[in-house]
Amino acid sequence: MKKITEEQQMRIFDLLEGNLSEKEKATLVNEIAANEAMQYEYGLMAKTYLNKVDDAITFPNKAVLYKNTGLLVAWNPMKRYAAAAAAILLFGFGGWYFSKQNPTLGDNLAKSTENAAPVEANDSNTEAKEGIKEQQVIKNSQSAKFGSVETGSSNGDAQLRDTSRKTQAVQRPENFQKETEPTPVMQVANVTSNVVVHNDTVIVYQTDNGPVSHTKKRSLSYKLFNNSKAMLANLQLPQVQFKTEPKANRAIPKVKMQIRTYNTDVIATLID
Amino acid sequence: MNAAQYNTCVDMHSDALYRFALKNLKDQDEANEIVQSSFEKLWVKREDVDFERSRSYLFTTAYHCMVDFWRRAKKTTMISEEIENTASTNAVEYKGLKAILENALAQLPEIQRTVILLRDYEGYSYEEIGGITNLNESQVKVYIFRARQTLKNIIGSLEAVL
Repeated sequence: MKKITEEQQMRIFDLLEGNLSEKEKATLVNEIAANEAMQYEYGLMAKTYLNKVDDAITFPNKAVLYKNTGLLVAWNPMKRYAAAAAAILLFGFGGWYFSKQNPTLGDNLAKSTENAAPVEANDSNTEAKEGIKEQQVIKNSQSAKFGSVETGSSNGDAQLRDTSRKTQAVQRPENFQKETEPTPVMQVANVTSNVVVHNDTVIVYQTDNGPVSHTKKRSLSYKLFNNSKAMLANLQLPQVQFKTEPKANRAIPKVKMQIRTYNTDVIATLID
Repeated sequence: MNAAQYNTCVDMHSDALYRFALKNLKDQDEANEIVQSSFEKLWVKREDVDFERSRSYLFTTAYHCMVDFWRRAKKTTMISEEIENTASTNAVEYKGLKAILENALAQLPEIQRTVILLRDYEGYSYEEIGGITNLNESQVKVYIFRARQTLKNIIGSLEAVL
């Protein structure tokens, strides 16, 4: 078969690309029909065209891209954190002010829990429950020491409770620390909303709902790490590293840690 | 562009953008990243980008992201890529034309592959492709021609073997 020139190749290319006028097209078609080498060239060149649309391939993370059309759009993460912090401060101040205004509230609460059923040692998660449980343990130890003081006057009760608070370090049973210390894992959960605790595993989720670029993930990971450093400093957790998920699942960066308690220390181990 | 228009852009262009990135990079995670980055940039620049120009903006941004990716990848994976390409060439020898074409596409220089994908998959004109890739129309046409010549030669040689 005779080889065709580059000029003929270019004209065949133009024909397939739709770059020729009707007249040029008609001339070239006749030329191709009379030339076997050009027919072969045309056939081969036509095979280089990809199918226009391959609908089977769709973007799997479309949901991540959408933006809320409501008010929340304007709320960047920093503003949300600031709002959360303001809310916490407001509640904290409100609680403090309320307790100042009602100094007998704590006593009433203690009284109301005197006859309550004992709380399971491994059941309580919140600070409020822990507080109640602590009061109860102290109360029980006082009851054992002083006998039936419950029948005394309310002033006597208050006095006794004041005494028990002042001397609780002395009055605590040996296993008091283990029974009443809040579970550190739960403290982690309370510190930041990015952290979810599930079966002793702490998972740090990315909560930003915007699309996440590679760079943003890196900065997010860094931010998480830094936030967590402060968070973990409070808990005295040693050496915790944060990293994103392996390549295959890294649409949402997250971190899994195994949290174990050893006496009063907490050991956090990164799970790969 | 407002949020509703942006969301319409997601509906209209995210699949095409993903296909473009995936066919170019052959890496789902990177393609995913590029689509997300492109839309993130569109969202940041939404005040400046008209809804009508959003498609072109997204493809241009994605192309620039891919160029960055290639630069980064070239430094680390040049050798392994060669080995991979050789292996995959052998593997697709007896598959259909589509597989042969996909494999041949992967062997094209990046710019040629990009213009071919924009032309064939997205149906862009030479002018539009030039806008995305910072080339003039003549350059785009030459790149497309060269790319088709290369594809044609690969297909021709494989057909001769078969």
